[in-house]
Amino acid sequence: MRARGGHIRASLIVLAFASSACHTILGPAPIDRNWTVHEGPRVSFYVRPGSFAELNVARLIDVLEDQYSVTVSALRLTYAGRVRAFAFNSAADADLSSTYSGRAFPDNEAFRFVCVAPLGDNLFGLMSHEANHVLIINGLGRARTYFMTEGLASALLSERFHSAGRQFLFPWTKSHRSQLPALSRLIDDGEWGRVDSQVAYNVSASFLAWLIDSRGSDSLRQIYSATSSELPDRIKTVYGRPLEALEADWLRFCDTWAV
Amino acid sequence: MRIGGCARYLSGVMGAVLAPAGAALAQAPAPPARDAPAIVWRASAGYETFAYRDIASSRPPVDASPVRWLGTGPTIALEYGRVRPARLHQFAFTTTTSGGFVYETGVDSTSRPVGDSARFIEGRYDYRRTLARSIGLPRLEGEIGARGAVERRNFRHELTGAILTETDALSSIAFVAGLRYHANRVGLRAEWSNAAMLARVRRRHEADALTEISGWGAGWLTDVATHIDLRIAPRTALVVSYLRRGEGVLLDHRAYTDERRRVTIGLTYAR
Repeated sequence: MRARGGHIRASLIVLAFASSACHTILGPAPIDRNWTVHEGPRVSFYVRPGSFAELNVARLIDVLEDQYSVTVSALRLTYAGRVRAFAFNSAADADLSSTYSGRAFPDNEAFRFVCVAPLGDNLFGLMSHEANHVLIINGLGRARTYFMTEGLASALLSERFHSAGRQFLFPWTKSHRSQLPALSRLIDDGEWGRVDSQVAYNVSASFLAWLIDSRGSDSLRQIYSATSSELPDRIKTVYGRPLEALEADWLRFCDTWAV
Repeated sequence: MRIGGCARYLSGVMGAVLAPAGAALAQAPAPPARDAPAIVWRASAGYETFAYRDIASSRPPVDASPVRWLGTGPTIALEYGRVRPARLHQFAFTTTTSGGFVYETGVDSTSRPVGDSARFIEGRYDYRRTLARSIGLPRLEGEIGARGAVERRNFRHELTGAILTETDALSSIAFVAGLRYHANRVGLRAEWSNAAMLARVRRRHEADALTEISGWGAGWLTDVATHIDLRIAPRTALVVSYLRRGEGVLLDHRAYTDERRRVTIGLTYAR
């Protein structure tokens, strides 16, 4: 009888040892299951039941389908996979630092973002930016600079449903001339994190949007996968001009931009 | 006395199944020389699920994809151990092929193309020491050790309009802690290991153009394993094992985490 009790206690200790080891600091949270699914032609939306996103899901799908077409067309991508969008109710719900936040997971063809009112430029711009990460990376592979990764995702924003793309970027560049960091600094991944993130995103997006508009996407694809150290020479080879000269052209263009 | 000691430490490999079988081992026709290690072979096969999640932020709390790329497939393992009193040297080889992939979101599951696959070939070496001090209960023993492992893995992910293929070579060094309990014909083992990893990754993205990127990365690995041993003959035991492995691999401009759950059944033979 006592031996049997010992066996049970010993077995419990062994099981407790094993189960307590399951949680690791570095592991991900379990998959969230509180979603309602709404299907678009190329996009699936996962929204919280009864949320703001669910009430407006038809509009969100329209915006994202348009963005999908614009990005694929602009870069001549062959990628045509289904993208999954997860709309969270708040920054706390998404475990993100701010309401204007999102994250993309290209390997899983998915992204997530905070979806709160109003239904306008900020929300559509954020959602489209994250969707662009999935589309661009799965269409072209991984870029190797933050400048290209983050800049291109905003540079290709469609403005059919909002004005968070060129209509915002070029005037913003003009109005922030005195605060703009040099592009040679932004293309350096070591420096990227030292620049205010909003400035870094906007400057890189503005420059790349201008570059695509003025020189086409074929040239851009040739510099897309360059590393920080490779990018200046690659730009000079592809465009025939150094980065600084292109930067000056871009700033002149933005200075003359009329709203 | 010598045979009793041998039987005791064989339990480190065979999950204590042979510990009560000291008498049976004593009947072996040619007992090993005094300093010769006992040799243990184990072959097992089973089933593994593999779940891959892209990571956007690797700082805790880790921001992993709400979608899992989930596959299942057969796994085969072969182990060889040399057991001396209070210590163990073990070599293991495992191969796994996962297919039948789906995207799993928690609320729905979508089949992936049949070409999606993940293949793993792992070799590892374990060194263990049995703790001399009792941990409070009779027949319950603790052990600590180290594990070195190398693994080659291949992923193939067929997107619509693009194909991703990746070859990872990973090496890891782990600290292992274990508990072992044995009674009569049945033994129970649990082990927990944490490893630091070094990864070399080559990734190929094939769409209308081809890009190849290779680079170094680092990572972590946590294994939790349990084994149940049932002695079915004097030198032979049936072993059922469960492994849950969590991993994270951090690379330049990319990171991923995966989880593997493996159930195997096999036979252990000792001489």
